[in-house]
Amino acid sequence: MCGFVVSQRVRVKTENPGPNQRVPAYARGRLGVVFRVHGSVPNYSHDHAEDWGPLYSVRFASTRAPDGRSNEKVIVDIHESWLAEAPPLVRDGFEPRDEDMRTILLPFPF
Amino acid sequence: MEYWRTKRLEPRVIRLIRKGTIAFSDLIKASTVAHSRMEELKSDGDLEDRVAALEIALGKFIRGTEVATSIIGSLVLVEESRQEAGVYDEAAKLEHRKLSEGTIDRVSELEEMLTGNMLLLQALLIALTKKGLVTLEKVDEMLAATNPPQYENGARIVAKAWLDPEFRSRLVSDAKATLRELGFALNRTPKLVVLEDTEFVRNVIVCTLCSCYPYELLGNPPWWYKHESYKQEIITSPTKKLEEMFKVTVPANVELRVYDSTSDIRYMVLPRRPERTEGMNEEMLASLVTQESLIGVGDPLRAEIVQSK
Repeated sequence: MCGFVVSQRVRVKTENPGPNQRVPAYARGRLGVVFRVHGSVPNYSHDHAEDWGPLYSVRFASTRAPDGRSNEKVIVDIHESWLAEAPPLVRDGFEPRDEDMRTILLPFPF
Repeated sequence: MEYWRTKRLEPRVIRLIRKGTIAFSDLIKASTVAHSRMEELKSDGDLEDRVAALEIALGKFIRGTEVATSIIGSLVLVEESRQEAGVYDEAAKLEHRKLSEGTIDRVSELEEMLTGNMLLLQALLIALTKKGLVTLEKVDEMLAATNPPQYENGARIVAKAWLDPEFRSRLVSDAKATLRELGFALNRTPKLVVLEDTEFVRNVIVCTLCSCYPYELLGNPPWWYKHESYKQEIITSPTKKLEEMFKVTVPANVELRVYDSTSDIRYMVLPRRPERTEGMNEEMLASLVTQESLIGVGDPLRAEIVQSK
């Protein structure tokens, strides 16, 4: 079961919710947008012998772009247990570009 | 290198001689043949080139030793490899050779040692084939099987995608299943995603936590991929890093997407097809695709490069 959908805003947890360590420090506590939904990805030969649950590619503004208007984005693959729902923002004058209809560019509050 | 010599290669040579499978004289005879076929490591070039050449030669030596080891394993009974290497027996233990302190001296010594090791390995393989214990074809086949994958795999795939829109869309939607059809098993890759560059999107790959990379498809990443300066700066200021390190300019209307791989998903970039490449075949197109362009930090070569050949 996948709890989040593409374009949904999520916040990365700051506390480690389980044995899964694979969330880069810069992404912890930050707001992002679900960019792709992957479902469960078995990864027995590399990182985890057990199922860590659904995986998402989450998109963030690059860490040097606090106003979110920059064209620099960072996309990190994060498991569902690390993610929490975040309230949607009201968007003014927002027009997604054609090539980018699947994602929503949102300003970041920090 | 000394591990492979003292624990794998030489103890087995000694064992073969003890068992009478081959004689010292067989090795000496074979060594003259081996010597004439050897590619010498050049010791007059730039230090960086010499180190790179050493790395490649060491890889060959290790893979060759693995092959020789498995051939010998099928010829004579190896009861306990650690015992035969003399780990428990001081009298039979093979010593590691010492290296000098200075970098240049060290590199020269390593070149000499590696050349010697390769000579022994080649002589051993030749002696074994001369005795009829193994065929040359079998050795070649085993060596080919140990060849690591190279980025050229990716170049071929990209060229195919440039030519075939239907293949391209399947590749982007389900890379692993599509590449299986081409014979890439990818059994150890959890999930592979091919990122398509467009007029408005440029994709770049990094792994900040370690060095996740589509190893099974593209071989080893370039050295800088594992370097902290790349890992950190490509996240904090990607446009600047691309400009400084790779001389790539990303216009403001292009979205720069940096993918930080966290093990489960491995990424490969499908760069944009260069201009003036209409009419080129798959092979010509593949020769334009660089390792850097598959990571997204470089563009494919310009069309003129192939045409001028």
